[in-house]
Amino acid sequence: MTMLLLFGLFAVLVVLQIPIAFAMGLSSLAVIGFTQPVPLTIVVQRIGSGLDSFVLLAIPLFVLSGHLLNRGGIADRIFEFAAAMVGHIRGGLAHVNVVASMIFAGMSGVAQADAAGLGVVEVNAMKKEGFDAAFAAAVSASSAIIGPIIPPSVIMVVYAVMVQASVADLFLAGFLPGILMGLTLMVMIYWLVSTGRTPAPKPVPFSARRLGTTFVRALPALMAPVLLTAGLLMGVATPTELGAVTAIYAAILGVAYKELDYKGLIEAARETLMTCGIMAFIIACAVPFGWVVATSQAPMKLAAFMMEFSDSKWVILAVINIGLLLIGCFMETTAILLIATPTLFPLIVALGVDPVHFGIILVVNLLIGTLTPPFGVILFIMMDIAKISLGQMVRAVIPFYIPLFLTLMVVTYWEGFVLLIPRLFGKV
Amino acid sequence: MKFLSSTIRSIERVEQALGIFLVLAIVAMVGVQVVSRYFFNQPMAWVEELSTYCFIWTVFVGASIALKQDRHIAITALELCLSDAQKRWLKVLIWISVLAFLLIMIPHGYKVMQVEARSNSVSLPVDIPRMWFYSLPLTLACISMLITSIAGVYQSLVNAFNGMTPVLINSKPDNLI
Repeated sequence: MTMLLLFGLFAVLVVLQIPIAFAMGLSSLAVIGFTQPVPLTIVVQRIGSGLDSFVLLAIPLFVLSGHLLNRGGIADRIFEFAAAMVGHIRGGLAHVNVVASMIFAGMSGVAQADAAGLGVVEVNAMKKEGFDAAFAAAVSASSAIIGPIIPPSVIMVVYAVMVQASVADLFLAGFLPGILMGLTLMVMIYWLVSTGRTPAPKPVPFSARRLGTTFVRALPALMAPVLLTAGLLMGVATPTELGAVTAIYAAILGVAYKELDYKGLIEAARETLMTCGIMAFIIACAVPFGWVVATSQAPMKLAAFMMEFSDSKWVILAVINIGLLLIGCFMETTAILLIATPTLFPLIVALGVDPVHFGIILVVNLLIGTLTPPFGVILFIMMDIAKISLGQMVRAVIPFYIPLFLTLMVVTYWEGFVLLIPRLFGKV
Repeated sequence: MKFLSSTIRSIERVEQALGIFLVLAIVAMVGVQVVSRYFFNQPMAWVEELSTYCFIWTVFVGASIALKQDRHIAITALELCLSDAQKRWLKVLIWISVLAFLLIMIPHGYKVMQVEARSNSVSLPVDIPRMWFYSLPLTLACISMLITSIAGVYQSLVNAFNGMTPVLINSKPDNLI
C-alpha cells in the first residue's frame, strides 16, 4: 500500500514535469508524513548523509576526466589511430567510429560526454567522407553507449554503492560485454554496407606506415586506458584513486598537447560541478525514497510473488529485462537505476543471481534505454550534432537494436562470460 | 523583481566559484593521497573523509546552481500535448511544487542541524560537528533554491497572466549517466 502510494505520487509528479530529484523528495516527504510513524527530519538526515561515501567520489573524478579528455584534442588523435587500424575494412569510417568509441570508453565513464565530445568528431568525419548523416549519427549513438560499459563507468559506481558490491569487480565485468557490443555493432555495419543497404565510400587501403605514425601520435592518450586497466587488473588502487590519477593525467595531457589552458580547466570543472549538482543530487534525493521502499516490505512481497509465478531464473530475468526496457523508453536512466535496484534486489538475491552479474545486466539494459524513443537522451544529442530530425534518427538506429539486444541476451544468460575477468582477477 | 534577480545572480556567482574550487580541491586531495600512499607509504585517512565532505558540498551547491539555470532533469512529455497557455500554467505548477518541497525541507533541516551540532566527525584531526558536512550544506542550498523558486513562481505567474512567450521547460537534454 505504502509502496503504491509512493510510486503513484512519484509518477504523477514526474508526468507533471517536476524535476525528478524534487519529485522523489516530495513523494517521500508525503508518504512518510502521512503513513509512517517517523518524523520528517529523517528525509533531511538521509539526503544530507546519503552521499557520504568515498566510493561515490569516483563520480566527479571520472566526469572531470571525461570533460578534460573530450576537450584536449585527444579525441582527434584516437580517431586517427582507429582509422589507420580498421579504416580499410568495408564500411570504413563506420568501423573506425566504433573502435574509437571503444578505446575512448576505457577512459571516460559518461555516455553523454562521449556522445557530445567524440561524437562530434565522428559524425563530422563520416559526413565529410560522404556517409549519410543519419547513418553516421546512428553509428555514433550506438557506439557512445559502450562508454559506461567498458570501465570506468559512473553508473556502475552508483549501482555498486547501492548494493554494496565491489566497484572494481563491476568494472572488470564490464570489459567483455563492452567489447562484444562493439564487435556485434561492427558486424551489423559490415552487413548493412556489403548488402548495399547503406551507401558507403570506398575504404582507404591499409598502410602499416600510417598505423605506425598515428600510433606514436596517439600513444600518450592511449596510455590513459592502459594505466587504468592495469590498475584495475592488479587491484593496486581503488577506483576512486584511479579516477583522480586519470583526471590529473588527462589535464597534463591536455597541457602537453597545448589544447588545455587555465580557462579550459575551469570550464571542465564547472561542467563537472553541474553534473554533480544534477545527477548526484538525484542520488541524494533517492536515498529517503529507497528507505521508504525498503521499509514497506514490498520488494520482499514482489520477490515472493514472482517466485510463485515462476521459479526459473531465466524467465524472471527475461521479465525484468522487458519491463526495464519499456520503462527505459519513458524514464531517465539514473532514476530507473535508483528505483529499480532497491525494488528488485531482494528478488535477485532470492534467485541466486550474482550481484555483479545483475549489475551488468542492469547497466546494459538501461543504456539501451538511452537509445529508445520517445525519451532517449543520446538520440537527442546526436540529432543535434548531425542536424537531422527524430524520425530520421530513429529509422537509422533501428538496425543497431539487433546487435544491442543480442549483447543484452548474452550478458543476461551467460553468467560465465560476464564474470570471467572478475573471477580471474577480482574477488568474486 | 529587479532586486530579486540581481540577488540571485550574485548568489550564483559565489556558488559557482565555491563549487569550482571544491571540484579542483577533490582532485588535488585524492591525487596527493595516492602519491603519499603508494610512494611514501603514508596513508592519510583524514583526506578520504575531508574529500568526501567536499563532494557533499559540491553536490548541494551544484544542485542550487542547476535550479537557477533550469537544468534539473525532468521528463518533458506532457508539454507536447499542451497549448502555449497551458504550458505557462504548468510552469507555475512546477515552481509551486519545488517551492513547497523547499518550504518543508528548511525547518526540518534546521532541526537536524541542532541534533548534528552535538556529534563530531570521525577521523579529522580537529573536532568539527557533523552538521557542517550534512545538514548545513543541504539547508543552505535549500534556502538558496527557495529564493530562486520564489522568483520562479513570480515570473511564471507574470508570464501566465500576460500570455508571454511560451517557455520550454528543461529543454536541454541533460541526462548524465
